[in-house]
Amino acid sequence: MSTMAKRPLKCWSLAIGCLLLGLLLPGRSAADEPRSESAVPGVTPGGALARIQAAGVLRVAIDATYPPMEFLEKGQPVGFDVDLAREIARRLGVTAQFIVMDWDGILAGLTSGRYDIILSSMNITPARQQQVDFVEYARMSQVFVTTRGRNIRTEQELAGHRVAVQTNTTSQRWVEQLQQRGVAVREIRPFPGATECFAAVQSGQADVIVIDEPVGRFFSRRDDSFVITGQALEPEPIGIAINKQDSDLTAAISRAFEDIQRTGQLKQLSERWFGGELGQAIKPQGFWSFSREVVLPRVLQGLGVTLQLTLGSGALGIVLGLLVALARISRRRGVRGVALAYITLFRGTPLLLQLLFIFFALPLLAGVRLGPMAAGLTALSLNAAAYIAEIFRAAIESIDKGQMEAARALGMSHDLAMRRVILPQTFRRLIPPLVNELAALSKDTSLVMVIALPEMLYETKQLAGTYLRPEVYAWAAVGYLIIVVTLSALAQRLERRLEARGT
Amino acid sequence: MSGPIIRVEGLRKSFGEREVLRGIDLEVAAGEVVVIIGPSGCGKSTLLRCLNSLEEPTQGCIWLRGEVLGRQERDGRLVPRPEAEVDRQRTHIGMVFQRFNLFPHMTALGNVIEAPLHVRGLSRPRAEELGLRLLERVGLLDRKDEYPARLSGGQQQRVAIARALAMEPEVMLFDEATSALDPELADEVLQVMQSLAREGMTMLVVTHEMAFAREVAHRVVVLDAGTVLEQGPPSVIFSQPSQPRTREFLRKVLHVRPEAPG
Repeated sequence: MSTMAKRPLKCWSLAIGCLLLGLLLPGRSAADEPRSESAVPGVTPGGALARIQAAGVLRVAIDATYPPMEFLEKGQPVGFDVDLAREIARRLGVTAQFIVMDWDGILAGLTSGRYDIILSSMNITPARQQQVDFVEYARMSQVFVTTRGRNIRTEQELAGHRVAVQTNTTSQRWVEQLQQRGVAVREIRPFPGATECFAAVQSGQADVIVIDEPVGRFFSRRDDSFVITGQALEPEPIGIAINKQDSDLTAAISRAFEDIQRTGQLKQLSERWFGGELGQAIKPQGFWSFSREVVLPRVLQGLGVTLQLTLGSGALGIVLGLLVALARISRRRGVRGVALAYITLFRGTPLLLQLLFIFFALPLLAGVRLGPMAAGLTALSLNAAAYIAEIFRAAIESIDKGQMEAARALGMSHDLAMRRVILPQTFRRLIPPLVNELAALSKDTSLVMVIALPEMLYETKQLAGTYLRPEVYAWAAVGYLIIVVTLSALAQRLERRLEARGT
Repeated sequence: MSGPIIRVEGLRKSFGEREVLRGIDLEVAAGEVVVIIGPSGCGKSTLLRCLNSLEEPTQGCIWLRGEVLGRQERDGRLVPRPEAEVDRQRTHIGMVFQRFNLFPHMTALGNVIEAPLHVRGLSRPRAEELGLRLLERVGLLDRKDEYPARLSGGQQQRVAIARALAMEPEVMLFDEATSALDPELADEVLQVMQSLAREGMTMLVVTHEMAFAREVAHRVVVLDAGTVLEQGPPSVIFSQPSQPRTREFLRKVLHVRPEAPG
């Protein structure tokens, strides 16, 4: 091997380190992310109440896909639980701040200190009680909701049907236990949110929904093609989840709740949210006027977030990817090893896993807590960089060896030759695979919905669920197409310009 | 004259199991034009590449004006020089390749001034002045703004020569500079080389152009199987080679039987 192909690249490894560090610093967050200063909050036992009162804010997590308990209307959280949280906060002398979370991550977010409590119709179960404490505030039955014409009244009659449930809920466990007791349910179909359960029955993907009673009632009133045909016998307690070490907060919330009950406010709330007028059928609106008035404003908002994620992580991914590629072809075995390990790790594990890990596990393992936008950008950039590094490497290695030799023969250092001679020649052959990668990246951004970042698909999904109109997904499709088509058009122009230059 | 400009002693180079150079001794005086000939695979190119530190010798030593190439003495032992030092040493030796290796994303002028700008650190006006002068010297001033893709092979090689000269080297190495060219294009390159030789440039030329060797070389070195088979003035080597293997080689490349010795 000639001497030139194995120059050290000591500066690169350092630069990668700096860049990684930069990525890990908290950025601006798009969602209602609290701006608490403590690195890992909730670790000081007993100090929770004082801390909340000092901040003046009670951070409340909700999974806003659960009307009438908690859902979004015009982008704002509303519902029984939301009002209850406001009342409790008022009695603690603070205001409630709502953090919209995906149900699957909601407990992890509490234990990692992203918020103070979960007030989101969470059933009190022994398993959850091992992780967190609860203040019980209501009891709920499971009801069976299906489309008109079907009649499923008892547990036994669930046999032979495909049952839609929300993942990781009491409903799911209840149906599973039913199965164990010998009821031949044809299939359990767990969906991430309540709204998807209804959409599933609507589109014939499931036959019946098992769900908390208020939610079932809400949807069956909103859309009269749904009916409640039966219910499970035992109502189950639901509670406010609080971290175990925050015992002072638990006590204070418990006292506040008793006060709300005693003064009759709880009854008022129930009437307001579970009474007759709620969940009235929405006046049917035509596709275009509904799109214009309701859908497009939200989808455009989501498109902004999606664009921010695509461009941000695309740019960071390209810079980091180049550094990793240069490290990958470094003369030093150690530097090469680090680059290879990096690529292996980030190409070898799902992006979704990386996203969940950075958002939920890093606060616990490293004390690094990123807001949803920062965490999303970090995961997407780190992941894209692994693929882009290989694109760069292939392009660099495709340049004729004589180019490097000629440059070195002129007395250029390896780095100078790389910068002035090799890399500029890779540009044109980089464009097609890079565009490919960025197109994939723009669509991968939709995964950040699991860490509660309201990008375009998330916004669309919320609308489709709340209004039970799955046709709005078409608008998200249009949004992604616009991004990808624009990207390829720009790339083509650039390619033609480089071609004209003769490289 | 103060000793040879290049001295090679006991140079050996192996690629894995295969030993390509098996102990070369050679001296080149300043202003001398040395043409290296020999059958393909005899190690001619490898010798030039070692002289420019593109290959690291396995054994032996090369001196440029008394300075060891690629290595330095420390505590009485030879240790590798820092990369930056090796880069500096390379600037004294220009090299022209068989396949030109022009930078395709730069114009002819851009190719020539790249190293003066970024290695020698000349200002742009001074580098361009130098570049234009060199392009004129190789007869390509009117093509200064063309990209290599739009130049003929012969023109590309002349730009490559100008590019190497722009570092103002003390020695020029030509590695089969005309082998990739049609005869009439080869000719324009050979003329440039000949004028360089006339101006007193020290040159080591690996070539199959026996006419050039006969006319321009001060000395011809015949390499065979990694060793110097024989060397001498072209008049002697071409008319009265002492080695049978030289005769055999020359018969093959010249398609004529050289005059029988004495």
